[in-house]
Amino acid sequence: MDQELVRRITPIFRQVLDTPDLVLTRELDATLVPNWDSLNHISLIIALEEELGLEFDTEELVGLANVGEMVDFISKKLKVRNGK
Amino acid sequence: MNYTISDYPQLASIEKYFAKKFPYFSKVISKRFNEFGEKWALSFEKELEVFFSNDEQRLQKASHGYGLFALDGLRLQKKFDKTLQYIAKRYEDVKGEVYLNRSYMFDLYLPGILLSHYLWPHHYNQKLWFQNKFIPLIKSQNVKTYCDVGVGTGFYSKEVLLNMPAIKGDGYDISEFSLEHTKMLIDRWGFGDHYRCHVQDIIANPPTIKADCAINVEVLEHLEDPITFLKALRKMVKDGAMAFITAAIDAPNMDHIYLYRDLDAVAKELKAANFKVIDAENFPAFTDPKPGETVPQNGSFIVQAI
Repeated sequence: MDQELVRRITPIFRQVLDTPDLVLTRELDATLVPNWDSLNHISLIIALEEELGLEFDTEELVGLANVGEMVDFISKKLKVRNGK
Repeated sequence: MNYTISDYPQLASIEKYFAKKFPYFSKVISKRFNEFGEKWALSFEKELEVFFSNDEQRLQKASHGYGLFALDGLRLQKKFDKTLQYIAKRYEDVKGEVYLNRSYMFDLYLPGILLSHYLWPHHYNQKLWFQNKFIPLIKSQNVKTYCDVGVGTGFYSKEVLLNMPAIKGDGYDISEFSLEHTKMLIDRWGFGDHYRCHVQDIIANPPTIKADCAINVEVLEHLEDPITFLKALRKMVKDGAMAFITAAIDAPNMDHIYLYRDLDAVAKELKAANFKVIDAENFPAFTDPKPGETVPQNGSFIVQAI
């Protein structure tokens, strides 16, 4: 995983999911965090969009099964935006 | 005997699909099962069995549509929390983007609404209220005909037929796709001979026949001028007829134009169109909102044409 990105988004996950000691691992997913429901998932997406200056289409988010896949997806979007 | 989700193959299939594609929705099936019990599970399972005929692929496609529909709605709700306004849209634009857009209607909108009748607490509670309050009332009046204006998926039209198999219904909508879905649903439940579909704008082209009762579920918020629509609806039923009319409150969606902020706002418009409120109930999507969070609701009314 892109560790710099993980460091940047960890406080967002902790705040939105109201889980102060949450550690983001590749395998972590919504089934493992009690507060990670659909409403909080959308809050998470919106907070990530605001923090990173990105926009995600709903269809793009489908099938992102865990934190690892989310980080890979965001990292790729950032690279495209930054022209790398 | 205690049942679990695995005893309901269709529900288990949706749960499995959500876990794979929309993991944050995967708890919703168990949550609703715990909340509403076996009656909910049995009736949802039957609904899916009849409509999807054990076709796993079609059920998965509908689950996918529901996921997209619900995510879009949640995103709009978060925007609404900040503005307390729906995104400004004209009815003519929405008509083209949504109601006359076959792929949007069949891939996302209609499956989204169909599953929401069981997955969203305010929709499920409204269905129960309809069954427990409105159906007994029209049964006691021995009504023979009904009209459903703005049929959506056909869910409520089908519910009437399921509870009163001898009744005859007419469904009206401006969307041929809504009517196509409705016909499919009603045919699969075996009531095709008792129902007619009309692609018709009831304001521009008012029907001449008057029904014994009417249903109109979550249509008003889709319009620019609900009172003109309600007056046209009033003309479609006999004097003294009962009607079941609902509106979404504080519930943004891609095609929601007219904002109702409470039950009273809907009640005032019903009265202005010569409907007397007999009973009303407000169904919230969830309780205990966080500070600054709005709660989508359904305002449901049983009214009498006066």
